[in-house]
Amino acid sequence: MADVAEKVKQVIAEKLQIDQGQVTMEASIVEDLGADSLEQADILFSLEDEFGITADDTDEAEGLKTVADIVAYLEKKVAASS
Amino acid sequence: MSRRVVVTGMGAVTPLGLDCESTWENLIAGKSAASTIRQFDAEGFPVRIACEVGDFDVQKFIDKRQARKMDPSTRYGVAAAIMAWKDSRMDEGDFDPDRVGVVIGSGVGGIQTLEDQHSVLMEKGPRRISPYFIPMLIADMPSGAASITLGLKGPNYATVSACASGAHAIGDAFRAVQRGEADAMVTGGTEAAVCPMSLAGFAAMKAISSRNDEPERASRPFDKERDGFVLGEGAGIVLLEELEHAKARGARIYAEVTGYGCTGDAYHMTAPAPEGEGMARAMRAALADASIDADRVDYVNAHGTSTELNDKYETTALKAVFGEHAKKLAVSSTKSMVGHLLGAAGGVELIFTALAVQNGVIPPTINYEFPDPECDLDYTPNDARELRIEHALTNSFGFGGHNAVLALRRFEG
Repeated sequence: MADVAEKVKQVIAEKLQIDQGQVTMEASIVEDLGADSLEQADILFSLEDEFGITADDTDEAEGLKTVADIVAYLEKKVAASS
Repeated sequence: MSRRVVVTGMGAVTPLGLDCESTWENLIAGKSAASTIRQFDAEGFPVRIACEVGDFDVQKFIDKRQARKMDPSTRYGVAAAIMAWKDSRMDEGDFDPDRVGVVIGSGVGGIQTLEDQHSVLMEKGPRRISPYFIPMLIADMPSGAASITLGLKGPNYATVSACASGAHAIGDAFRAVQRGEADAMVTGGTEAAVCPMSLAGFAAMKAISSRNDEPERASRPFDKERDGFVLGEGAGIVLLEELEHAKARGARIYAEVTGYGCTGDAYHMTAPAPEGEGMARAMRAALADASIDADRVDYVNAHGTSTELNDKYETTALKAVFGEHAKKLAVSSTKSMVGHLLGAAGGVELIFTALAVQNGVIPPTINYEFPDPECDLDYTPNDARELRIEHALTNSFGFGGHNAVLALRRFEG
């Protein structure tokens, strides 16, 4: 599922206007990449759109901290919906 | 004695230029900014013309990450605020951030964002609405964003009074400095309403000109063939500063703001009160506030929208206020060239009036061809002219019956 990670990194880099190289799997969206709460929501909504899923399990979606967390979450969602 | 207030910085993004200098050059050259609408396909609309800002590059002022969270109205406002601030050459150490505020008016706020996000709601549903929708929509965000960008922590809010929003903002800012609530204020108006919803709405009101085949001739204030205004967009922002504060740092002073008057028509949602009764009271209030007699005014930058009723009643109001002196008064409507910037009009027109006072040049009313017996003053037809101006007024009137007039005086240090 390398393409999920690639897509996630691409969306985050685009939304935060940073170099995609900075978006490592270990990077925390807030602490390392500087996203505010609106940017976090914006990233998640874009990914919902991109992968055709709905992040309606709010607690779990809001708990996502690192790029790796987001990728794992999306992989699970995509697998469940297919 | 109340504190004196002067204009020490100016910034503008207009259909005639992306800064004050180029806008002013085109204005005194009598150029029209109107054209067939380029930013969206207006085919099928009853009106297909506007005065558009064109190739504005927001990234000269704000980084892309911030800019993408701003409606165009906020982008124009923040860009003009940054230009005004730089123009004032206010250095760190020259001011106390707690004593400098921001009041920027807008007529409709983020209407382009509203349009975009409404389509998202209809096509994709409520879960796809952007988290930036509300912050991009609200009409006070230009003031908020400018304060964040410039680090200004004094009074901060927005004014909303349709086409008088910018003038009310400046009037409020003037009072804040005069009363000592602030040492300086970044103030003016911004608007970005050249979009399908507002074009269709103004066309439905028959408020805008449908001279689609000759856009550059459509805005013709006080001319007998006028048939409505031409929608414009952009921002005009100034720095108002307390005189001693300005002098202490050796600031360049464009003009002094001496008076502010505002009234309500209490008459009709959109039509001005007969004979311009409310407009006249606002002009008298501004003159009284400035403590000057009417016959000392040399120039009036008219609201002059190019609509049937505004131009007729603004003329009767000018005659009521100035009496015999009305015939000697130089009047002009810069909307003939730059279009009607709605909530930004009061901002850009204060700048035009200050430059007229400072340079001793009256910008013209272009497209003046056919005299209207009901509009019989000296509107500075078609060509700019030189005139030493001691006192000037700038008029702004908005739907809802809001009238705001500012008085400026030539400053000699």
